[in-house]
Amino acid sequence: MHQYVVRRLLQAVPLLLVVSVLLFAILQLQPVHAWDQLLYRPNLTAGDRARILAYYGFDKPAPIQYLVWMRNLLHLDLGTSYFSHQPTLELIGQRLPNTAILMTTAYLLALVLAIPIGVISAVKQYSKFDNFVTTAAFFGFSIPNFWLGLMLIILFAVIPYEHIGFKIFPTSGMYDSGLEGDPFNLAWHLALPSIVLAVQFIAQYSRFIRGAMLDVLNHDFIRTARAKGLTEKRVVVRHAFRNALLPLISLMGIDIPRLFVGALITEQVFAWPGMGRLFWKAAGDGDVQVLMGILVLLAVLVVLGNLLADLAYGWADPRVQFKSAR
Amino acid sequence: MISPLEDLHGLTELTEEAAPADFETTEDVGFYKLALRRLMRHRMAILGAACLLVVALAALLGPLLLPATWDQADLEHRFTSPAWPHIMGTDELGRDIFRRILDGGRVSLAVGLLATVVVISLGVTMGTLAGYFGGLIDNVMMRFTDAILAIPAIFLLILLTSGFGRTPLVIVLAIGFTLWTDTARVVRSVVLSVREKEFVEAARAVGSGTPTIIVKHVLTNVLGPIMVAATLTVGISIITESALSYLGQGIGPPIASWGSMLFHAQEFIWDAPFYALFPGTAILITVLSINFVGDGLRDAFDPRSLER
Repeated sequence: MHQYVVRRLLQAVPLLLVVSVLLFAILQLQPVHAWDQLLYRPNLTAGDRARILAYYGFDKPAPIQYLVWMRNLLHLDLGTSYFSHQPTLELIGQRLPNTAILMTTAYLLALVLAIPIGVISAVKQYSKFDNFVTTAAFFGFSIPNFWLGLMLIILFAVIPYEHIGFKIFPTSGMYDSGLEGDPFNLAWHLALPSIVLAVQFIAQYSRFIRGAMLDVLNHDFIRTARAKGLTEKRVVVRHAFRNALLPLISLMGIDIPRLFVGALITEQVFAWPGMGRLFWKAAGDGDVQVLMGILVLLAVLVVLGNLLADLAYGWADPRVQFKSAR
Repeated sequence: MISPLEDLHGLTELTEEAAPADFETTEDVGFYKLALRRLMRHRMAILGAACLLVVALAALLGPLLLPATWDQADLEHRFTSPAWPHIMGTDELGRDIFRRILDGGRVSLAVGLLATVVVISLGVTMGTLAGYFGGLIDNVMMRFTDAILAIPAIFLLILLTSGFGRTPLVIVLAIGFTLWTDTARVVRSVVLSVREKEFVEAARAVGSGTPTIIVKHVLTNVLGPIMVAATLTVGISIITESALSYLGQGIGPPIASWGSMLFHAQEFIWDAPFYALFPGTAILITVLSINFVGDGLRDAFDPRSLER
């Protein structure tokens, strides 16, 4: 088990190297660079420009810049923003918790809704409920989440404000001013964004669990359980559901990047002060250090998420054994 | 009594589970004809295809039929509510929203289709090479797709479009470059199993060259999954393009696209809530139709359902 974890972590190193080289190459190949903005101020002399280039290391060849960046990374230094002059780690540290709150809430909401929906539609296959959920899931897959966000804003803020004079849910930010840190105010602000972020996962996971349940319900041990005279509830919950849950665990690991994608868009709709908006601004500025920092950190989180999912799978399913040799 | 050797070749299964006479199987009409027949019976897929046809025709021909002035700024008629003749109202410059949606439809559909061409060309080429040859090519491709998958798609897209400009070419290539990995993996896994089949071995035995084997024997058997992937990719590309445009990173103004209309609609959501309603509905209907067609194709090509 320990050897397995170590091996997986070692395998992640070349992957992260490829990711960082790929990203660095993309940023280097771009026709517009961050330093263009830094250099083209009218009152700079040629000497100033040369000094700015040297200060940031832009005068060196790209491979050297990459190695410098990598050396700093190994010292856990993700560089400094060219524009706000704050360390990248500090910027990420301010924003990552906000994104984490949004993602966790949305994901828990998705699981809490998707699991019972999926189980019921499998147990009552082709019932009215099942058919409704099937159609609804297609809508969930196909709806652009930012548009869903706009529709919820209209429904819960614009229309109520016109007719009854106040918004049912707020439409931007994490807190009202003066109430920073208040958990109830936060929950109130979380309502719409977390629904928007959750919808596609509710659609996907309820279908997935339905499929997994149908698969399990056809097995012999289910027939045995019924033949033993167990109640249908016990058969479904204790025997079928626990087995159907297993494939969901690996899906959860794979879906972390999609959760970040959804979060970035949701943050934009609801002006949520998270990583997505930080990234978005850095991309507009060409703030290479911040961009590289965020993307490499995301890649690390994705890799760790996959590893955690695999470990959780092994913990939940004793048939899985972590072999230390390949 | 069947000998163990025959059993190795799966003969017992064949003799025991011979297809019932009243079912048509691939033996009778051929796999693709059968798949088409099954697709035609998939009600939602047909409905989806019909919807798509209507959307495409409206986007292509609609702008020609509406008055040209409707696309011009008319500042005296900003944000008029939906009413005849402006059935979807007017936008912040007084332009007809219905007309803008039709124009935007051209862009969204074109980007979706072109990005899919990129995805399928890249995905099928890489997936086939990796699956058929294995070894180093396979390893390099899998690690490369791992790397792309480790960067959440929209982040990579924002990086590409903000650096290389927001021209249609960049947007199409960027979406293609971000989305091809899934297709490559699907194709690779099917090719992996097809290349071990007897008919590939037979083709090799009669002296067919590798390119012939790949094109004539392997690819024809991967066509089903490719068509499903292509259909679903059109939908994903359209959603991706609209998300990118919504973030202000799509094809720049004055070209309308459904996503960029929503980008502007949010700014004026308190003045003109109807503005946000229609472009999003257009995206939803289009993508929903595409997904229904994709679902129909998947069912039609599912080898487990060989019945009519």
